[in-house]
Formats: sequence, structure tokens, C-alpha cells
Amino acid sequence: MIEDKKYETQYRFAFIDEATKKEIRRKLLKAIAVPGYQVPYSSPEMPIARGWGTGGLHVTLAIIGPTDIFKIIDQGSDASVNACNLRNFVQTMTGVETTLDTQKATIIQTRHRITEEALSTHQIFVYQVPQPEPLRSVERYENKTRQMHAEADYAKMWVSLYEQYVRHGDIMMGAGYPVKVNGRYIMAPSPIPKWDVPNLNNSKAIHLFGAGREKRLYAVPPFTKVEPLEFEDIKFHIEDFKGTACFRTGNTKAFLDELYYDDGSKHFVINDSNYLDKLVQKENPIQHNNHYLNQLDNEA
Amino acid sequence: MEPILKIAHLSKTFTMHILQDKVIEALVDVNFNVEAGEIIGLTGKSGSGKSSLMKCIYRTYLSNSGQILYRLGENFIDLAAEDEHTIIDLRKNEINYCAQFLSVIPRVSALQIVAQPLIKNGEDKEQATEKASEILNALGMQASLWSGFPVTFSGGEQQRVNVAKAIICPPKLLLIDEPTASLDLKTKNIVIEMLLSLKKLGTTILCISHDEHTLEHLVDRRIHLEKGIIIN
Amino acid sequence: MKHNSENWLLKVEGLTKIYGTANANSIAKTGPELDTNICPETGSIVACADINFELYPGEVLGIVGESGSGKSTIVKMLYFDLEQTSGTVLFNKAPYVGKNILEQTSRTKRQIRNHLMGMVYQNPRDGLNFKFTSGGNIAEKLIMAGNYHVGNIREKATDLLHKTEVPTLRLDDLPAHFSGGMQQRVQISKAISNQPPLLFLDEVTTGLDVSVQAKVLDLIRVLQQELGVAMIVVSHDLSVIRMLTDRTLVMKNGRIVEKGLTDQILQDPQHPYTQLLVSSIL
Repeated sequence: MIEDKKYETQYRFAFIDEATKKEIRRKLLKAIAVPGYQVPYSSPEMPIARGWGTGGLHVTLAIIGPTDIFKIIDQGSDASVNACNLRNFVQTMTGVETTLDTQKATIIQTRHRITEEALSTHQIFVYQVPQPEPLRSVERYENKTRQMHAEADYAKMWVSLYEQYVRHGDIMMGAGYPVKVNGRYIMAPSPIPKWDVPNLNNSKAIHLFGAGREKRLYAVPPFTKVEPLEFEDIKFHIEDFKGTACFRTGNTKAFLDELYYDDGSKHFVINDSNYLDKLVQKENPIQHNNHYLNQLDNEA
Repeated sequence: MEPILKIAHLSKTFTMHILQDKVIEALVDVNFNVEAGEIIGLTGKSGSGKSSLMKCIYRTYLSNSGQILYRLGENFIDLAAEDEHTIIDLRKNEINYCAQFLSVIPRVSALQIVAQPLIKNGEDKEQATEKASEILNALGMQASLWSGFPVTFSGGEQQRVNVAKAIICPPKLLLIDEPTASLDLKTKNIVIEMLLSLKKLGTTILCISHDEHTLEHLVDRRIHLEKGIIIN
Repeated sequence: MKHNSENWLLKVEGLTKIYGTANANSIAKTGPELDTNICPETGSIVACADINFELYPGEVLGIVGESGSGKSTIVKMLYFDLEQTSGTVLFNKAPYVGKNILEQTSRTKRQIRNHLMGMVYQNPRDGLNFKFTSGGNIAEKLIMAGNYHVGNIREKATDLLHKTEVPTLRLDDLPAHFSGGMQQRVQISKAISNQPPLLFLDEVTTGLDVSVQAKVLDLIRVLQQELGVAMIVVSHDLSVIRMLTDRTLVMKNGRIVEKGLTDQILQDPQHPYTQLLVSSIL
């Protein structure tokens, strides 16, 4: 076997060369300066394929420092194969401490979920984004969508929501519900469930989005207004878990996974693995505070 | 009291470019005045210039020289020289033209055609249609025809619609071309009555006709044209 | 009641569109006298040049001409579908008074289009999105004009379809399943949904069956009277012009050869080309 020594001795801290790191950082600053606006970036080659999280990885590697504590989840779980591989890669390339604990982490990279536990001002949340363009479903052409964003011409997006309501009785976007950031740009929050969308609004943490395949970065700075698109009479609502509970903790106020066992039995369990662990250990983790969740308390 | 209309040295020629610039003289140095509330009959053989004269006043024809002074309040404006927007306003509010034949708009009922001038003036649709049916009734048109399309009517029925449309909204100046053509005697008299009642409201009427009965009972004086020149 | 000459709604001055690179002679060496749009020196195409006219509120202006006359080009530039080579267009509606609307930012142009203009194209595919329902198409314009209440939008859309005699049951159907005449009527509903003071109609009945044409034209006529909207009607068909317009511009090879009251143009045409056009009506 030929030993691959190439990356063992020739990589920089965090793998990416310094010039590219500088470029990504500058683009991230621009993204933070204009919340919700998609900034094109170089999206350098990585030792993983496109579509496997290169965008999120670019952001993480550009901002991570030796004292950071890194956590990565995939659909809420720290233990998925891809989460583990990416964690190992970042650890090898930087030597930073890694953790499963949401509260302890300073950088949290995620695929398609926001943590159940509330975030704080010392944390950066990094999203892996498949399709950064929220208007792609209504307009195929990139030059047109760019123009639409520039002119704030979002009528087509609104009409597609109207059409969904007319056809199905409700707006059918389950994951990746389009949001309006800072009252100006419409943004794709990556395919997070509707449950998580309200947690972007007025958040204490910085939220950075990387789409490697599409070569775009965008951001939501802390304490920014993020509103899901809704009509005056057809409002946004989170998923309804009424009648179900986590079979391990009995919790009814978290995003639940539906599990099917070999014997045909069906169970629900909390999706966020670290949150579940903390509840099981009786550690009382603090959940996000948004008015959709608060309404659940009132209804209970 | 100044006349409502003063025509001075009015001339009109047609230049047919597609016939190697052939020139046809329609009106030559026409001069006359019209007092407010007068009914003038324009007479003459066909081709004598009667229609051309009325069309010049209405600005359908562009006269080549001369003035058509129309009294507006205290002042006179020259209809031959005014800009198009003024003319459009005048046509909406003051001057009506009733052509010899009804210009037929497809698929619009007789009632709608007659009610239109009232609706344009802001009147309520119901009331306008009501008045339209009254006038058509008075002109002797059967109720069954009111919702019909005039393109399917006979000449006489079309003429009733034509006249009704022109007089339902009394204008200041009415230019009417052969109002009683193709009508029976009874209807002729009704039309003459209606025009006379317009006169009572203050309308000035210029009327082309070659029907002696109409001229006798309707007009105050006649102006006779031959080859574009007034002969009196 | 002398007409107020400062009361215009739209004033167009020196509007010009040239494709390709022109030189100083391009405009002089093209036009109706030379019977060509193509500059012999540079090969550039003068689609229209030095177009001047005014449109007053509630007036209907016709633009008539044959292919290549430049009539559609003018309307496309006024609706910002096409960029001008030069020219000024003044629109007498706050807050755009006194500004050349052709030189505004694309965001401002979009606002003008959404709130103050309506356009009906010859081909319904240009004016409608065939992926949306007919209600959705009308909703698009209403949303662009600032309505975000689905209940109200549907009510308004139903009302507009009713006005244009489209069966209201088809509110949630795709226009791809409609006949040509019905597609045009949905387009008209969409165009007037924001109650614009200015409406453009570009060859809207060309290609429709005669009976359908009559119905659509009549609808436009009635709507114009009801809403008092100023319209610019582009057509090569003089009978459409006769039916709908108060004034007309006659165009040839990108220039206006004659302008006047519509009945005067049709009954007493002055320019040789107009006389040719009028005498060619079937």
C-alpha cells in the first residue's frame, strides 16, 4: 500500500491555504454586513465530494482557531457517519477540542437542524446548505433570480405559496421554509424543519450559511429580524406533535423523530441527540424561547 | 348675443397621393354664421360639399384654410386649429355628430349603444338603460329588438338607434346628417319633434337633409351648396 | 373649458431605439422617405427615432403601422421591457413628476410598473405564467402592488374574472387549459388588477378568431369607459384602431408619419402612406 503522506506534512492549520482563508473570511464579513444576501465565493476543492457538506466545512475551517471547541451534528445527531467523519477531519486538521455538548461548543456545524438547546452570544452556528437560492423553485435562471433579489421582486415566491395554499389547503413547505431577513432579502435557511425557523429570529448567536456546490455564503448576524413568509390570513405554524411524546423521556415539547422497530411498533424520540442525553441524565437543558413554543405551553 | 358658430373663408381640398396627387375641391370659400338655438338645413346635390362642411366642423376633415370659430363662454376658439385634446373634450361634452349611417360595433345591443353617452357622462347604468329604452320606445322600435345587435337590423331600425344615440345627451351643437332618411312618415315626425324639443333646451342644430317634409317642419333657414360654394 | 395643455399623463420626447452601432448619419439615412430601417453606412437598425407625443388621462391613443414600423418597440420601451437608445419619458404621477422614468433604477422602474402600469401582450405566454393558476397570475400583480391577504386577493381575482367574463369557477385552473380568447381575458384581468392609470395593449386580438376578437375588443372598450384608464393600443389592424381609439399615430420605418384624431386619420388621411393604408382596408 502506498502511504498517502501528502496531507500529513503539507497541510496548513485547518487545511485550507491562508490566501483562501482570507478570501472566505472577507466574504463572510460581507455576508454579515448584508444579512440574507448571497455572496459568491471561491469554494475551494476539498477532500470530500460536493453535496457532502463542503460549504459548511469551508466556513468552519475559515473561522476556527486553536482555542475553539467544535461540535457537529447531522439531522440532530452527533453520531451519524458523516458527522463523525467531518469531526475527525476537523480535529486532525486543527487539533481543537471537540465536544457533543451544545452548551460547551463555540462553533457548531450542522446539517438541516438547529439545536434544541438555546444558543448564546459566544457561539457561531454554521449551516451546510444544498440550495442557497430560495427562488430557485420558481425561477430557473440565475441572472433572473439575482435581478429579483436586487429589485426586491419576490412576487413569484409569494404566488407559489398562494398556489400551494389553493391546491393543498396549506403552505406545504416542510423543510427550508423561506424567510425574510432584516426586512429586505428572502433567504433559504437550509432544509431545517419549520420547528427550527423561529429560532433564527433575534438569536444570540451568529448564523453562517455555506453552500459549497453552489459557491455562495450568507449570514444572519445576532439580534436580526428573521420572519417566515406568511400572508395576513394564512400564517406560518410549526409542526404539530400533539398526541405524541418522546418514549424515553416523556417530553412533548421538542422536535421528534418517528422510529419503526422490527416488531412493527412505532415510537417517537427526541431528534436532537445531545438534548435527549441531557434530559435522560436529568440535566435540565434550557430550550429556545420563541412565541410558537410558548403557545404550546398555553395550549397544554 | 354673438353667434355660436362663425365660419369664415373655409376651404377644403383633397389630395389623393395614390392617384398621382389628384386634387378634388370640396369646399370653396364658405362663409356663414349660426345663432345659438338655430336649426339650419344644409341642402344640395350629393357631392356638393354638405357632408364635407359638417365633417370640417367636427374635425373629421382637416380644412385647408379659413376659420371655424366656436363660441366657448365669452371667447371663440378655432375648431380648425385647436389641438386634438381640446377637440376630444369638446366632442365629449359639447358637440355631437350623427353620421348618415350607424357605425356598427359588433355584439353590442341597441340598448347599450343608446345608453352609452349617458354612462360616459357618469350616469348610473340602470338609469341610463331606462332612459335609452324610453327613447327607443318613443321612436317606435319594438322592445324585442332592444337587446338585438344593430348589425342585424334594417336600415330604418339602424337609423332609429343612430338618432337616439345622438340626442339622448343633449349637446350644445348637434351636427346631424340625414336624420330622417329611410324612416316612415310617422317616425319622421317623431324625430322632428325630438329635434325641436332639443332646440327648446338650447341646442343649435346643423342638419343635412334632402327631404322636403323634414326641411319644412324642422329648419329655421336653409343654406344651399353647389360644388362646394354657398348659393343663396 | 379650454383644455389645460399641462394636464398630460405621459410625455414622450425624442424616443429612439437603434440596434447595433450607429453613426451620426444613421437616423438621417433611414426612414419612410428612404423606405428602410437599416442604415446603409453602419448596418445598424433604426427601430424607431425621434418619437414625440403626449397622452392625456383617460385618452386612448392608437399606434398603427405595418411590420417594422416600430410601434411595438415604443410600447416595449415605455413598459421597460426594452432599453432605449435615447429619449425622455415624463410620467405625471407622484413621486415621479419631472423625472425621466427611463433613467430610473431598475427597482424604481419595477415599482412604476407594478403600481402604475398594466400591459397586455399579443401572446398570453408573455403576460401570464402558465405554471400558476389564473387566480395565481392575478394574485401576482396584486401582491406586487402590496396586497398580502389571501382572502382579499381571491375575492378581487374572482371579481376581475367576472368582469372579463371568464367563468369564475376557473379561478384555480391553469391557463394552459384555456382557449386563446380566455387566456387574453385573464391577461386583461391581471393587467387592470392594480387599477393602473396607464394600460398598454400590444396587438391583443391579432391571431384570435373573429368572434372572439369582437368580444375581447368590446370588453376593452367597456373597461376603458368604466375605469377611465388611459390606453396605448398598438395594432396593424385599422378596424381595431377605429373601435378603440380617440387619437392615432401612424408609423412607417420607425418614424411617425401622421398623427391626428382617429376619425380624421381614417376619413381624411393626409400623408401618402396613410392614404395607402386606409385604402387597403378590406
